[in-house]
Amino acid sequence: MWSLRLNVENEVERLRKHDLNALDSLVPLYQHRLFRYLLRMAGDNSVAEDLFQQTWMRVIERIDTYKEHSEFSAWLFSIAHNLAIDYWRVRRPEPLDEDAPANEHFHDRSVDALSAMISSERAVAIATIVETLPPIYREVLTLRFEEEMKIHEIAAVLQQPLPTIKTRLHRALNLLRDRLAPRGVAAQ
Amino acid sequence: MNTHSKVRDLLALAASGLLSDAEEKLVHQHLQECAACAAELDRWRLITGALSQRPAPQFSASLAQQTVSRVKDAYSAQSEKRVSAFFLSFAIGFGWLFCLVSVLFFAAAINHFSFSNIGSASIAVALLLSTVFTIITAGVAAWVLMGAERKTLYVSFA
Repeated sequence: MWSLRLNVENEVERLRKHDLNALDSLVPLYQHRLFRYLLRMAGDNSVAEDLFQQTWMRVIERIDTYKEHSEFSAWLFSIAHNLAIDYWRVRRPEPLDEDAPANEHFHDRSVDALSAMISSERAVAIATIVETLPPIYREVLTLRFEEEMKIHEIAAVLQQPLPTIKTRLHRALNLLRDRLAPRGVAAQ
Repeated sequence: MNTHSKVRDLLALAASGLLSDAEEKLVHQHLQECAACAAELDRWRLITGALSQRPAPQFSASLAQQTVSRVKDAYSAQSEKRVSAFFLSFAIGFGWLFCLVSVLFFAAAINHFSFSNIGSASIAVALLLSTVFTIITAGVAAWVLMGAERKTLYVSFA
């Protein structure tokens, strides 16, 4: 872990000196995480690939604004986040958080159906349902559970205060659960 | 809001590992005496566990290579454009000076090549003509450069 971090710092330092050969190791290092995040946001492979390339273009353009000793991955993802949000605003005019906040109270009516559904192929089923959520909810779920970012890292990527991140994640989970419930009934 | 309701509201975040120390303590204490909340936390953990195990997406094996090549190519083009802009600025400055000297020389010629007889009106005309020339040239140069920039942006989005 230490050697990986050291390696990233070295490569980022080379990038700050405009040595583009640093990309030869940085791009492959982050490609899985970054592409997965962009795909979750865009919902389309070719768009995600384009956003992936644009992210690295912007990294080069703005590398002078990167603060030394800060977390490079958070900075990288914040660039990707801004591009993804721009994409959604330009290409898909619907609101980023089109759904009203999910009912934040617990739904006892769905407990049994939910339990039955999530016990079988739940990862695949949940993945399908997550794709139907508004982008800002998909995003926070991806950053937390797939990228395994801590809350302060998510806040850095999304450039939002910690309470906002908590609220957004809470709403995302409740909305996801609301949408899981009827499918659980159907799956039985 | 009583403790039960408050804890109930925290369970989704508890399963996400996002509680503060104080919230963590509150939830932990409540779960010791509330089986319903304990069961509810287990359900949330099934969901958050599944979220961590979503199938990994597939992508082009050459994505990284293509990206590195594209970024390097674009950066090289930008560097060339910066060099072009530098020489263009130099040419505009030189043109302004050349124009100024030419007009002054012309004014001196009218006055039988006596620079000491050039009037302030002639100098003003020389400055005016030089500045107009510079503004027009700079405008054309800016238009050309911005056109190239628009084309670059278009290509990057296409």
